[in-house]
Amino acid sequence: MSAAAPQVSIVIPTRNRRDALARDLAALARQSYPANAFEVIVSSDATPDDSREMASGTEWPFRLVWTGLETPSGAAAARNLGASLARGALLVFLDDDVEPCPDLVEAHVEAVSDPLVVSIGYLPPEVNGRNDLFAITLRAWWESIFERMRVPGHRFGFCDVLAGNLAIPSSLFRKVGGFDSSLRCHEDYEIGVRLLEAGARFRFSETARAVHHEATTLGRALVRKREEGRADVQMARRHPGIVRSLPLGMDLWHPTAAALERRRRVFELRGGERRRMRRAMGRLRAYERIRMRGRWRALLDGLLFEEYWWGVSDEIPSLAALGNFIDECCRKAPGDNAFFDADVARGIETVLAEIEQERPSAARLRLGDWHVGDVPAVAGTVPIDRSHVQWLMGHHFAAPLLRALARSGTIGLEIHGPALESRPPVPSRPLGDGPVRTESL
Amino acid sequence: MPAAIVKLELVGRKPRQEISTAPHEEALLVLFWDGRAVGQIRVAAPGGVISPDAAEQAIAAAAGWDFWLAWLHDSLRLRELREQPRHFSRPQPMTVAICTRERPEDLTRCLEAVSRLPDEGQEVLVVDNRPATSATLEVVGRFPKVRYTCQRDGGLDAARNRALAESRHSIVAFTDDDAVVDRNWLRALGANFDNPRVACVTGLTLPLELETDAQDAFERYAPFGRGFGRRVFDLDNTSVAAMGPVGAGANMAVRRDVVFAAGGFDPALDGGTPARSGGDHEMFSRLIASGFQIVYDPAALSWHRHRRTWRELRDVAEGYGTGVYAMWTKMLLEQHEFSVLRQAWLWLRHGQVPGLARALRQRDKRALAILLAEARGCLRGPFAYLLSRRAARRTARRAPGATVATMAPGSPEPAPPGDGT
Repeated sequence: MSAAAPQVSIVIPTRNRRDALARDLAALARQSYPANAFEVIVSSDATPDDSREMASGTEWPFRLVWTGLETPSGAAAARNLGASLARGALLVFLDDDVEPCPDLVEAHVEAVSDPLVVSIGYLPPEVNGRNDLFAITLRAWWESIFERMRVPGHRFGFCDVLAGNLAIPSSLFRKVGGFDSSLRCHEDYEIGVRLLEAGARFRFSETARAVHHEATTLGRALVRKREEGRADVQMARRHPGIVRSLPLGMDLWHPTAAALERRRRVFELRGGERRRMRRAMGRLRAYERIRMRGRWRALLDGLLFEEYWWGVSDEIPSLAALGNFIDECCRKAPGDNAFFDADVARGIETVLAEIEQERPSAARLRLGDWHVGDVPAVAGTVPIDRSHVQWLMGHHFAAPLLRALARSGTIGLEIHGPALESRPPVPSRPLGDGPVRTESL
Repeated sequence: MPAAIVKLELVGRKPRQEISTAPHEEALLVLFWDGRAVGQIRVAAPGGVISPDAAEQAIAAAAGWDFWLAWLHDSLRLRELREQPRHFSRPQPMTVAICTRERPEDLTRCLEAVSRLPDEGQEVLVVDNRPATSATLEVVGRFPKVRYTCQRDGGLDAARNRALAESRHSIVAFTDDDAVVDRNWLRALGANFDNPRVACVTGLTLPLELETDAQDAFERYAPFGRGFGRRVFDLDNTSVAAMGPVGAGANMAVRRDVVFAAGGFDPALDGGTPARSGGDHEMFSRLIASGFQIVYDPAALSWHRHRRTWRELRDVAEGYGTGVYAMWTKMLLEQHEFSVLRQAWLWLRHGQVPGLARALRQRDKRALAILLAEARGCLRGPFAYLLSRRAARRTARRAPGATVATMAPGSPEPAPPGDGT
């Protein structure tokens, strides 16, 4: 045990998962980072099992602190309690059902290069041999979260913050006031909003890996979805602006008539939902047996959609009240609709440099008179920077940008309907070299 | 008609350049942008020369979407953005596996190409499948860094399983013995494994030579290439019974542990068994059904020597038909994958029948011969699979160590004496 304050404090909230916690602690004992330079604080959410005996009965190479809540209050409260005892300059939050790889602490320390950087660790899901459609879907869903963060031009937002493997400088954590312990889920998204408001920069640290032993069942996922519906309403009450980025604000995104009708039924037919659910579970099993994956997925998505809106309706009882709530949110936090004008005719490098300097919340890309695409303001995300626009121009906006360049005669493409065909000559100068011809057709 | 294969790098190319194709009077121009294939076109070359005008026109005509996209990415310097220091996983070394059977000349050319790959810690493993002579062993002996192992029974899939079991690295890239890999091939395959959901990567395969009518027909009617655009296949966009667009086992890399977990390649399928092909696509299908992604990345380029005679070509076409229906029979019987019935109907209705009708209408004897050979194979496929499965089970009982179920991941040591050098 080291008398000096450790550099890193690892906080693990736990409840009734003795074996998982033992695996988590054993993995922390194998870290490449010196064991005397970090402490582990296990914060029990009134766990009824013998986790404490297990933890205190083992010799660990690091300093272990056990603390706990008297009554079950949720992971957010347990994390806050653990963080309040932390002595390290860097807080690493880990869930109890993860198994950190040996480089995890070292990778987080390396990633947090200044007091405003938040390191989001990688949580590869391990479904422990399950190969049913739900496990396959669950694994794919988890990985899709990290896939988007791997994209070099990813625009980080509050939804990228995952408290299962997260490193925050202690000073920043204290500045934003810790997790909102009134939330039973999405507390990590909520702190993400406040971190962004405090000027934090998010970084995805793939080498800070912790295998996530994912034991969620279909039934648990549906219950969780309902909790998410409730939590989203609570979050929107606290941060009205983000209603635009939540499923809750569906009305603001031009939803389909089918989605609206489905939501209306949820609000109107709140009785008999359990019976309907049992019937739907039977159909799910039948679809899986005969490998009707498309139908299975559509039914699952429908069930999750309904559960979410049931959760919303627990907080806001009618559609009329929901409409008023969203209007109120939009009134309190009007969106930023001012687009930064990015005319590629000025040269790609020039435009990218301007964006990097300006860091606008929204940008409109054009080539002379030709509209290329809009990068909209998204509530709860970082401002636009050079890499976001660079990536978007090479992918989402590649087709309109190439068409605009062809129309302006900069490149030898001929447009026939949606397809692109070519004609001579091959481009004679790179796009970023300076002004390009911008005549309108 | 025989044609020269001309690789044309456009970055830094002198404008209005004459291209020699002698002695051929036709050429297949393959366009490259900064080392990456972005398009191809057939061009007449009277007198064995493509004039500067004809070359410029051909380049412009072949420069489609993928060419302009590569140019745009270059202009935007997206490569620099991708290569910025990130806290991401480092590239892993890979194993290159070549499964071969009595083709010493092809194997020599293949190994020469593999030896030219940049050294990034890869190992090269040759699996000699049911050898009748020591020719393969002798070829491997001339390449000191290449490891030899022998698979004495089973077909191509048994050899692939052997390669996986013997590999020292967790990602195994397969190339055919009659293929010549491009210098950037392995690096391009490996780059896609950044994403742990990617279990397999396939690459672009272009003809190594077009010297005979049969090779020309193969490239026109049943090419290996799947275009010049990168694509990602998963359950959201792909039917597990339709693996044609995904690519081919002649140019692929797989994550060894994922393939082991999926049960390995089915030894009842592919070359050397009555099913004759389909082992690669059947594995692709299981990977997709397990929720993994397969990436087709044309940056991983390989050149394949197509069969030179019509007899061989008809045989290959029949083998493809047999393999597809053998694979579908397996999926239907063992995995209860009823979507194969729909897929078989769709292929017949929208592929085979219109293809035959067109060949008859245009009196295209070459297309007709290939399509009829393929159709014959389709009729044989289900019976071939049952026969093949019985043989595979017999082999498994005789030599349980060779079965998929008992495979163990990576032997860290070279093959035992008697099996290898």
